[in-house]
Amino acid sequence: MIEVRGLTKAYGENVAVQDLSFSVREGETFGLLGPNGAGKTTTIRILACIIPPDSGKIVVNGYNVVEDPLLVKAGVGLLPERISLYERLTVMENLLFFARLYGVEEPALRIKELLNKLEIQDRADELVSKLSKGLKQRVSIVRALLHDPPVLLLDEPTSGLDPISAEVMRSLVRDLSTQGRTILLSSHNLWEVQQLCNRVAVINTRLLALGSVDELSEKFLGPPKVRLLLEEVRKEVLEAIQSVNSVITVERRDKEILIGVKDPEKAVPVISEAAIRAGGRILEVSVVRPGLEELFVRVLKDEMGQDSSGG
Amino acid sequence: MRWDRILAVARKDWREAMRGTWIIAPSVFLVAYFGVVLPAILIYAAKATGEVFIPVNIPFPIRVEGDLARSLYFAFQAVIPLIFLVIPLAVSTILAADGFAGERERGTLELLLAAPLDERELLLGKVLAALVPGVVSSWATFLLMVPTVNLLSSDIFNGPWFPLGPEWIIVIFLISPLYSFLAVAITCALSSKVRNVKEAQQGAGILIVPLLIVVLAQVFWGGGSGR
Repeated sequence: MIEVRGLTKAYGENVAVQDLSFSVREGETFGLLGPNGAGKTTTIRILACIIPPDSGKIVVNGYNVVEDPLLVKAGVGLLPERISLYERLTVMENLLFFARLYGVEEPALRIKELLNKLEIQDRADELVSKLSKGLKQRVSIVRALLHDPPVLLLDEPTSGLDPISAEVMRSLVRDLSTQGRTILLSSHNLWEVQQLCNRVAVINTRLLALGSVDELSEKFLGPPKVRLLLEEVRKEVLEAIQSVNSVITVERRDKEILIGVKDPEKAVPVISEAAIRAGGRILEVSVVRPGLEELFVRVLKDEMGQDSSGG
Repeated sequence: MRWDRILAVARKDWREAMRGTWIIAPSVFLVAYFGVVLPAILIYAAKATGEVFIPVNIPFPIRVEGDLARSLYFAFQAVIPLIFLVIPLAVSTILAADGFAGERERGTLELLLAAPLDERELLLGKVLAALVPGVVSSWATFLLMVPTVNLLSSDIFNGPWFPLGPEWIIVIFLISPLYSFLAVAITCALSSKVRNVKEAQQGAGILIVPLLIVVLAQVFWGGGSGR
């Protein structure tokens, strides 16, 4: 659905994106992660045909962004990072304007349908300037969905929203994803990306890592861990756990044992049984999977390490 | 090129402009000032002083008797037409400067650029949005000026006399819209390149130069042979 091959974009001397390649499958929710200035917004702006790439082949919805920008634009719904609505116009006037630009048939009907869906139908005649940021963002989503685009580009969709509005937005993204839309989402909120995205790309001008959160976690942070909280950690218990076949690493932290395993769900009963047999009294058992935040920091640290060793 | 999209862009800009006092108030002021107040001041000033500088080689196609009538005739036939270049220039360049730079400042340009309309449609929509209010203001000023001048000076000219000759039709319906179009096109192009409205307005200031040249030409044309 989205193919990016060798994308490079520079603003004068400043390289925003360098040789970036990734693809987003149809119906997938894909996260674009990176620190400030990593090139996330530039990438989204290129995918939306707002700015041209310097080089690279970018295909969205089957159309090349350089050769067929109008066809690309017709199939893409964009939610920019900054809320972009005409403050002096009402919600309905804003939406009717964009409906006309996108050639939406029966625009009033379509707008009402979407406003109802997002539960803001009673705000249709209000000036946008009178709305809260959360409501403005909902109107922006309606605007992005007016022409029923198969591809959605969401640049920091919950940025600056209060927790309730942010949750409404996340729930909406989940709904849109279940409808089969292809979604590319950039966010600073790593927890959010972990909740919403099937796969992620970590970029910092260039691509640093690509895959599902689990795949990347395993690659950069090692396997998930089983965590045992014991009344007392004795030597026999540690030895019993170490002797279990699937155990890769064992790490002791006070009354806690962190056990690296390949398949934690299968390993938990075996490890628990071994610990109990060795006389251990288990207070709590859980599976610890490294979060995206930890992964993100690790990937960036790795990159910085490579850069400093390289140069 | 699709006109429904071009008109959608223009209508959106007009609607926004109508809601903002920053464009409506100055436009109404310009129309009222140049259409009513300035002609009234000129006529009353002429009546009060009686004598006004008039270049001797100004042709008088009608029988104009007395210095008062001659001075008013000169003012309204030679100087006032320039107002119909200034008004659309003032109104249209405010809108044209805001056209792209204002959208960029407010963050809405991104959505216009992401919409499936080509650059010509967007540019034409913006030009139309800025041009029409300027031209309409110019025509409204003319429509106010005609009765004002005739009402206040008919005693001097023994009846309605303004406007005189086909040159007025050419100025109002041809030169004024054409000059506005040129000014708007230049300002829109500027507005699309600069970072903010202020820079666009400063750049558009250059458009006053041709008008100054015309004013100076008027002065030099008859300046050496004053009474």
